[in-house]
Formats: sequence, C-alpha cells, structure tokens
Amino acid sequence: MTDIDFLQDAAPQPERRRPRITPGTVVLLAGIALVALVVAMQLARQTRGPLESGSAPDFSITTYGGQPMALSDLRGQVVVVNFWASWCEPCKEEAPHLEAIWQTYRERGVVVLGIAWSDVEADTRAFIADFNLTYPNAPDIGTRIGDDYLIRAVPETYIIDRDGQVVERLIGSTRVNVTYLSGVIDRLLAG
Amino acid sequence: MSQFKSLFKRLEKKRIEGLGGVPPAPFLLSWRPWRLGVLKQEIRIAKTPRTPRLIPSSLFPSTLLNKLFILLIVVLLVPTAVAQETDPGVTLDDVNAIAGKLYCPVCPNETLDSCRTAACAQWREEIRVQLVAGRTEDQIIADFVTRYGERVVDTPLNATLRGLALYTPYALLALVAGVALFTLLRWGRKPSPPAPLPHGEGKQPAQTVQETPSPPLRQHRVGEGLGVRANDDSDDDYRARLERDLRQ
Repeated sequence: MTDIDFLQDAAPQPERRRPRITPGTVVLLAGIALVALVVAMQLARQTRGPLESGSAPDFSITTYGGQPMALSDLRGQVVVVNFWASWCEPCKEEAPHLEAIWQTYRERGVVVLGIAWSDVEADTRAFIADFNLTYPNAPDIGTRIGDDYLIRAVPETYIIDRDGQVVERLIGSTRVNVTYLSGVIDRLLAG
Repeated sequence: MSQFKSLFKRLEKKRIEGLGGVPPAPFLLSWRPWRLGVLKQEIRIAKTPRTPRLIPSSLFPSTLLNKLFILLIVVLLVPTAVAQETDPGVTLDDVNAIAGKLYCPVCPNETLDSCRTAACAQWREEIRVQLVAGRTEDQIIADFVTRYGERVVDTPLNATLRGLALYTPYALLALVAGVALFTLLRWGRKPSPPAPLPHGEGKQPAQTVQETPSPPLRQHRVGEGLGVRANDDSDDDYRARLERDLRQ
C-alpha cells in the first residue's frame, strides 16, 4: 500500500442521493394523472363506435298524450325508435312512412316510437298534427336518450328485435320507407 | 274701383293662406285692369270650399298625396304598435344576448345567435317567447339545460362542476408555476460550506498541510477528508498517521 492509497481509502465517498418524494411531486403527479384521465375519457367518448348492435339502452318516456312508457316494457315486440325534430327536413319525408308502418303492423306486435330530439314542444306538436302521426311520440328531456344512443343529428332510426337487441341503425331518411322497413320487420317477426 | 280693391285684398289673403302663411311679393302693386278675367277666376277658386290640409301644401300640393301619405304612415305604424303590445321591451339584441350563451344542437361549437340552421331559428324564437313571458336570462338558460341537456351551455350549471371546469386549468397553471419557481430557487441556492471542526481542531491540520509542499490534488483531498471526518472518534489516529506519513 502506498501513501496515496490510504488517502484514497480515507477520502469520503460521495453520498448517493435517494430520490425524495415531496408533497409537491405528489400533487404534480396527481394533477398530470387527472388531466390524462380527463383526456382519455374524452377520447374514449369521441371514439366510441355507433350503436350498431347489442342491447338497446333502456329508457323511460312520457308521450305527448301523457302515457308513460319504457322500452323494457316492450320486450317481446319489435320496436322502431325514430329520433326526429320538427326543424329537420328529412324527418318530414320519413314521417308518413313511419305512420304507415305503425298502421300496418301495430296489431302484429310492432311498436313505432318517435323521440323528439332537441325540439321545441309547440313545434313538435304542430308537426305531429300536420302529419297526423298516431304512433307514440315523446320528448327527449335533457337529450339523455339521444346521448345513450349516441345521436349526433336527426333523423336516426333504430330497429330493435323482440329480445331488445339493436338490429338496424338507419341514419337519415333514405332507407326509412315502407318497403325497406317492412322487409326488416317481416324478417324479425318471422324469426 | 273700391270693389276691385277689396276683391284683390281678399284674393291676396287667400293666396297668402294657400302659401302656408308666407306672403308673396307685393300683389296689389302689380295688378292691372286687363287682368280682370284672371282675377275673377282666382276669386272663384278662393271661394271654393277646400278640404283642410294636414300637411303643408309646400310639401304635398295635392290633397290626394296628403291622404296617401297619411295612409302610409298609419300602415307602417300600426304593426309596430301591435308588436309593442305583444313584445314589451324585447328586442333582437335581448334575444341574441341569451342566444350567444347557448349552443346549436347540431353544429359543433356554434352559438345560437350566429347559427343559420332551422333548429337555431326555432330556439331563438323560443327564447323570445320566454322573454315576452317575463322570464329572466338565468331561468331561460336553466330551462334549456333541463330540456336539451348540459351541452347547450359552454360551462356546466352545477356549481361544483362549473368551478372545476373554470378554475382547474388556472389551478394547474399556478401549480406548475409554483413547482418551477421552487426548483429554480433550489438550483440557485449556493452549496453550504463544510461544518467547522469542534474546538478549533481543524486549524492545525490545515496549517500542517499548507506547510507541506504537496501537489494541489493531494492538498485538496487531505483537507476535504479532514473536514468530513471532523466528528469521527478516530480523527486523532487518522491525523497522526497522516502527519507521520507526510513527514517521511
């Protein structure tokens, strides 16, 4: 051992600093986690796919005639749920077809439900009167039903089978006509 | 002659009245006997009973035009009066002031006041109807939220959610600024000098080292080692060994 060796041995080793977790670090990390969570929730909501199939979200409504209804009460029947509004031009095209379907199939276990989405009640009632709609119509209070069905605009129509499963999702009024709807409904009634 | 003069005086008076009370150029000075036929005709006109003029003849010389003008004013004013009876004090600005705080149900990020869709037109009309009914702005907005959901407003109406939505970004910003400031202050702080040796023992070895012709690296290491180990019980042994070694 030379004289320098023992000096080196005697020299103190620098202390290793342990990573300290301060309250500030905890708060900062919690803030970052919160922001990440909110962003992730928004992304998940935006990227959530349309309701093409699966169990139809249940809802309760009170029709403009004052009759309370729930989708779950209609289990065992084929249900055509139509989201519409009086300010929507395509809704005016499909309304007579929906009324015709209702008149044709109401005795055979088919229910047509109109959900007035983001509409003013006076205009909704005027629309119902103008088109002589006799199938049940109700307002979507707070657009909760529309949110459950991921409605972005109207018209949108869902066809739900006897087991409460979504069979068809029709965007716009192109396919909402007697011919197309009859085909789907006949198939469901036969099955 | 006096008969003519009195006729001319009457005629002058009528003419002045016909001109809205403004006297024309001196008339009597310009009369001539050969104008008698003209004067008779003017007198006949003056004696003819006339409908009273509401509008000065200088504006509308014809009474028919006067009547049409009055009719036009009536036609224009009546709807305004009727509208004022049904919409007491509700203006388009009042409607737009509320519409600017609500969002279109179909157009993303578009307020009702600037949106041109039929849906927004209906909703603006609904705002007007509610204003006429005497509802306040808060009541109308609350009613829209109840009927159409929270998405019609830019911030939630619930106090807690509203607070979170409005103040969370600022709170996070303040937090980040605080952490950054704290870190900068820590970096800028100078390192504390080594703790002094008890009972002045540290001076003697330091002097010893300075007297010794040692290289700078060695001198530094010795001083550093002594400083750090000042509180160690084996200081004396270590110091003795060090001095002995340096003397050799």
